[in-house]
Amino acid sequence: MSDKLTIINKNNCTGCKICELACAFFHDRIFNPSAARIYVKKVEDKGIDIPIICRDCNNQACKLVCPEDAFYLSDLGILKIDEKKCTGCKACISACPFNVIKLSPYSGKAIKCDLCDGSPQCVNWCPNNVLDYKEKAKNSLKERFVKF
Amino acid sequence: MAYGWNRKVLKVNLTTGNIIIEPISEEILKNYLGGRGINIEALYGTTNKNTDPLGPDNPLIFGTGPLTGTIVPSSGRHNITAKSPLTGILGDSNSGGFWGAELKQAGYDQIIITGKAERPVYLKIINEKVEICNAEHLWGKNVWETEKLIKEELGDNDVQIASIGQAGENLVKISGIMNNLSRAAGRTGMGAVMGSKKLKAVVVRGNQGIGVYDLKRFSENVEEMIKNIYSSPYYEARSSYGTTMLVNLNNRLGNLPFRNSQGSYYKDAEKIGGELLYDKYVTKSKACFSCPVHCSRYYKVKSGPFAGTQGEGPEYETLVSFGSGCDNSNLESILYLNNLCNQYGLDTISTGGVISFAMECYEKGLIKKENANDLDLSWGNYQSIIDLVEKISIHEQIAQIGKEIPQKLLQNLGSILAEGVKKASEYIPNSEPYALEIKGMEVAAQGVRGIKAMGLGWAVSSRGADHLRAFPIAESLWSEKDAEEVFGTKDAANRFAYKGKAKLVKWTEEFSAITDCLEMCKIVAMPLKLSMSSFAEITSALTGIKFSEQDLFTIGERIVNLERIYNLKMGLTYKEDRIPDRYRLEPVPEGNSKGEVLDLDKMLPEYYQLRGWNEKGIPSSKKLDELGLSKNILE
Repeated sequence: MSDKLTIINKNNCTGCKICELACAFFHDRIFNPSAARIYVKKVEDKGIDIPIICRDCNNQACKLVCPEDAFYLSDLGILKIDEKKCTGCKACISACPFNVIKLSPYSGKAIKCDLCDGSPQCVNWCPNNVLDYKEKAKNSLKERFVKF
Repeated sequence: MAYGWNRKVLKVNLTTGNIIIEPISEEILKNYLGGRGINIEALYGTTNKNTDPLGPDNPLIFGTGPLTGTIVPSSGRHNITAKSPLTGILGDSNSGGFWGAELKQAGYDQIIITGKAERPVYLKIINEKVEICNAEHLWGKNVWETEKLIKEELGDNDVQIASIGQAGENLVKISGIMNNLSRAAGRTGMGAVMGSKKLKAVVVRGNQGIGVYDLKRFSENVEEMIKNIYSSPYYEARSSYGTTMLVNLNNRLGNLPFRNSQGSYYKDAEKIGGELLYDKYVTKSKACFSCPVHCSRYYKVKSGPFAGTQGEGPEYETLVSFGSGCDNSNLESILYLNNLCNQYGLDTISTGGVISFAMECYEKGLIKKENANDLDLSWGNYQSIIDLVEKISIHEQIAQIGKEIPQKLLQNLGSILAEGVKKASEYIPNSEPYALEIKGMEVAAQGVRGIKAMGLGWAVSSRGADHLRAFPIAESLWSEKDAEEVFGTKDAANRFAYKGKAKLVKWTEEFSAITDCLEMCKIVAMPLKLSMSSFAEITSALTGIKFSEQDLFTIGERIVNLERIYNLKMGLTYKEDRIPDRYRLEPVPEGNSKGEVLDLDKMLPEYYQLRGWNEKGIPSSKKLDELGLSKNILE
């Protein structure tokens, strides 16, 4: 698994959605939040903004349910989806406990965070250090058994 | 793929139920860019002097810009335009939030709504699917309830909603159109126009995407702009306090309106200032769509009589209009009032304006308690301010009854104030000197006796008294060297000087017109000194149409002139390019602008001349020719 991971200081999030824009633009060269692999959930009447992104689970429900065996571990240590194998059946979308997999409005295939070839754009563009991408501590039991 | 613009306008007639989608020509986009520009272009030909602002023929126009919905900083804005029921001239208001970006994602740059529905409706736009939906269950609900109910009804937390509260429904002339609970297109009474159409909300959702013509050039220039934002000396303060930093700053300069602008200094400013707000009540920073400056703030009041009050904002203008303007130093009451106005859908600037007017009338004995809804309107009585805001919102629909207020309503101060301060002063004998308005709109929160260019900007603004048409803050913020370079005199950076101010106002009016067309935030662009050349680079790279810096200034000038001719067509004359006597005749009594008055005559003739307008403020045919506006020459 990856030694690095995007982690979230969610209390800093101002809800600007720049991460969604940067994500969609990196992957599809278009500004379309609905094609982003990160999502800022907003509860406006409570002033809450929470970025939601792939947690890179240890127990990978998405991979387990995929009938096409389209999920594979990338060099960066995060699960990616093989576009050639994916049929857009949505099984992974149903299985994901964090609701961070969706169908691309362009390819019709399942998409999820792939760490942008090692330089996550959401982290780069976030004005408030809500997201981070760095070496993870490896010592605690919790770190060893529960990612994030 | 859409590069920047979608090049589409959605036209909805609420009388017939007709819905059509039309292309917007490249010529219009090249000449007017977007937002405020394409909106006045559309309004110009469709209304005349006789158009009733609250009648079915007045179009309610929502516009976005080419940058709206992209990653360009602070570009997620929209502009709302119609003939104003408050002033009878151009009605035009601009809002941040997330609504504009979503309209772009739905595939449109502009919506033009005409006619009047028989029963309350809301407009639902999901990509190409457009429906007029029943809103009878929403009528009478406030903005916050409306947003919640629509989201529940549609089962989608991410729809964006522009709606009116009870104030707009009741045709209050100082009502706005709200989005994201606390974002307001507040000025010029656009809420009443929407209410007159029985249109409760415009709901948008889309996933069309916005493409970029020249990826490399676009990315480089956006990154450069972001670098400039982060390295601005004002970034830190703006991103923490937002506009609320101006309360104490303006008080130090002697420019903070006190008691309906009788004074320009408030001894209790710190009690309502941005610093205290931030330290005691702010729980986090909040941003509009795609904005790294996140100047807005979420606040919570945890104890006392206003415990439980939570929401977003308030802006500087609100702190002044309900604070120092009414001699009210109770910050918690202002936070409560901010929410109340956002819920009812009222413009906080104008609402505070009419209330401070009423308080001065009370002080001068022109209004008695018995005809003030039995309220004690002594300065600082915040409970009375709260009660009055509610009475204003409930407004007994004077506009529907007729031009004259029936005698029984004269007992109802709320309904009189709901007509705006100019009209209200006509019903309260001898109150005219205290009605601070220009062209029928209530003044904003600047002490213009101590900032001369701002005063000129107010006087010539195309939507009536307002700080954001020119927004000439260079006179306080720029260095003398920069001022000399751009405006030819270092005096342009001296707030007490008159020299150079006409040129400064012309320049900033054009700059502001462009930010309102691109739909960038001028509260970001001006203080952080973003450049017109960067706008030109980014817009060209995004759209594939070449715009130079000079092209953009020319478009800005075209828009200012078209708005001018529009207003002249509505019956406005140069006599309305004025300031209230208070600023002209009464010297500032104390503070760091002590002794100052505003002498418009030292700037206005030069301004007309620079604009190519005659001594009566009418654009010359040469100027109009030059701007390609000849067809619009006044008959």
